[in-house]
Amino acid sequence: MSDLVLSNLLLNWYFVALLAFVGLYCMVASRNMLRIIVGIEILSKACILALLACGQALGNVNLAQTLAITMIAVEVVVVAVALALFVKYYGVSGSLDVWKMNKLKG
Amino acid sequence: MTLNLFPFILMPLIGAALCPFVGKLGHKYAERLSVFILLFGLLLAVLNIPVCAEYQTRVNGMLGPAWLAGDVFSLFSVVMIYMAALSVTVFSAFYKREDDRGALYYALLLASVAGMSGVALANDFFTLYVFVEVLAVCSFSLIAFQMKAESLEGAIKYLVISAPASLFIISGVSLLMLSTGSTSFASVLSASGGGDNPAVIIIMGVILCGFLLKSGLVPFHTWTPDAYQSAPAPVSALLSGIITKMAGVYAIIRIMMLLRVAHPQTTAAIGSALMLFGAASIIVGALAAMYQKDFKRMLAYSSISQVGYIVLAAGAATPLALAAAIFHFFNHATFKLTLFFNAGAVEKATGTTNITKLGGLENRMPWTSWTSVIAMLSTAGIPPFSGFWSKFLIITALWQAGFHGYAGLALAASVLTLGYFLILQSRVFFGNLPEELSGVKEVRAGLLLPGLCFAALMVAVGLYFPLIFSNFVEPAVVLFL
Amino acid sequence: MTLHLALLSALLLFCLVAAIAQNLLYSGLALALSSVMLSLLLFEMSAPWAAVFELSVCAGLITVLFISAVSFIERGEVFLKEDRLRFYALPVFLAIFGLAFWLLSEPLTKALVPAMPGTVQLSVGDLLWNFRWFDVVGQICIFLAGVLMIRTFFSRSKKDV
Repeated sequence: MSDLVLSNLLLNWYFVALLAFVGLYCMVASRNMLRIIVGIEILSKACILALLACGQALGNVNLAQTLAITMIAVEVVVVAVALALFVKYYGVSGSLDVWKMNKLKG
Repeated sequence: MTLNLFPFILMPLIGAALCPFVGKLGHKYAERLSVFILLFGLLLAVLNIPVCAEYQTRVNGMLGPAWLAGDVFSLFSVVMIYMAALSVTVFSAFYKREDDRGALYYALLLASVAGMSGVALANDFFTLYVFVEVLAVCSFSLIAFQMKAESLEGAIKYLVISAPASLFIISGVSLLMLSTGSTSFASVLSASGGGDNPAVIIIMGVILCGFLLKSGLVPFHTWTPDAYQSAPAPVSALLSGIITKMAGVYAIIRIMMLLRVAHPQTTAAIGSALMLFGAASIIVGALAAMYQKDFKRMLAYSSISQVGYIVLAAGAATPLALAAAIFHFFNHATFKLTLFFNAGAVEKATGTTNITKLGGLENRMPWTSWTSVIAMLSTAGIPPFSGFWSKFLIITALWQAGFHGYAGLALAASVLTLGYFLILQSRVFFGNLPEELSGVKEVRAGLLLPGLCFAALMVAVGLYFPLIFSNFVEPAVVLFL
Repeated sequence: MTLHLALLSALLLFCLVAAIAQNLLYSGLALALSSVMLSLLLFEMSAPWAAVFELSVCAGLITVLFISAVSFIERGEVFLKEDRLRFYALPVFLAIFGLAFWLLSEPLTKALVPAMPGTVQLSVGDLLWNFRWFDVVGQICIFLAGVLMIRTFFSRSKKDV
């Protein structure tokens, strides 16, 4: 494997790791529910980048693109559903605060 | 002769699309449509088993067109899916009050069946991911269906854990693609053939992390009690009985089946990690279940514990252990469905699931009480019920593989299981009837029917076990060799 | 090479802004901009289909959904009092993590050896419709489930929900 391809791959994956860290941190540290969606989105970007970085290093970019397209389509449905859940939760309970979600205990 | 299993996905999908329209004619028609589709599917699946078993397939020799698996495990999973979904549909038909959106409920149920069949028939990790996401979306909707604050909270907690899990799986899939050039199951086998590539451990480890999060094992179990408690009873039954297992545990068993064949050292490494998680789940689930005050929450912790057994067996990865894991998969579906149905029946009859407020229902609700007793004894592994045999197989398989410590642990935890179920049974059904509950009567026959069928199944499987062993378990073991 | 690096850094930067911004609308905007950056990056990696999809779906659809969800919420809730320190500490933690990852990722780099691209390169159309048609079935399933869910949650029924 050529050095250039390998170093490119490593560079890409380094950024994937950094992005994933930002996304996870955002999800864990946020109190507002909508910010959790922002975290999920950042994680998705990291994954798309990962898929394509691997595809590029492999040489088969088309396979990676196909997978990425499917993944984006699936993610958009999940995000839409998540937003619907949050909006409904706000409508029912009046708050978007993650810390206040404590009706279920034990 | 190829086995085409695609109808199993197509039928519920079409049914799900049709249900809202059929529902406009009348609420009942949507119910009947879904019952019809599921019954047909179940018969089709059961009839296909002898055909499928005839093939001398190795576990990795998938039949049918390239991306549809056709081996016995898949078909067996499809049977379980349809059986569980059929029973939940029948139960829901009698449980729910007249609801405008009833047709949407059945549509979501059918969509989840389509998703689960897709998971069972996937021959490729990425396809597995897509269908597991289908399941996740259906689960969120079903949990939060009645849109109470609690249900929404349960669904949100599930969502927040599930989304990163899916993204873990995708990262693992991209690494797999990098290492082997394709994402199918078969490519795991060919990954650097022969020797043990460290890449395989990393890749499988990452993918397994995602699936462990989804299956509700310790320490990733925090969403499970909340989601099961807050969902309506038939949905909890479906979730616990089959959805969580198809979304998480199915993949774990598949991965162990694949790794076993090609990469023995990796199997040992990953297997021991899995066994650790499984053992931890068994203990934590059992201990936590003892302190619960809510019927459904206790059942949720019990589920965590039983799924721990399945993963413990899968981690051992010997042929007998894998066969035992699959058998327990089936048995657990039957017990949990019965127990959640009974919890639903109790809730319908008395209006509460709080154990401290219940008591003495044995005389008022005899059928519910008896089916609960059978299900609980089976879960705890008391002969002659089916649960005894699956636990016995798991412990034997662990012992034979040399994991004496884990075998002892599994045995000891059965005692704990019996313990918390006795607490549950005595508080809810035995004892004295409190004042407020004096008007309670047994619920309608329709609500009891699925529970009775499963109880009969548990007894039958338990009594005829030698037959089952020679016809199902042994061929499965041979398949894995 | 440097373009690639610049785009990657821009992507990371916008994601950081999206995570740290207090106003959710600014977060949404930063997220959209980071999608644009990712899309450019994908173009640069010679993956035009994925780039276009990413641009239209993530930068477009998801941003629209997000902004409309934010608009459903009252002003007070959007500016929830959060502990800002945690968020301002994010770049610091990120730097620490980045350093640690750089230093400790030796075994990872040894393991990640790409396979030889032996098979012939199929076009995207071929791949999607012929090779991976089962995924397309999966997509249909998930869209159906999503539609059902939206109908469940936002239908106007005769009875008051």
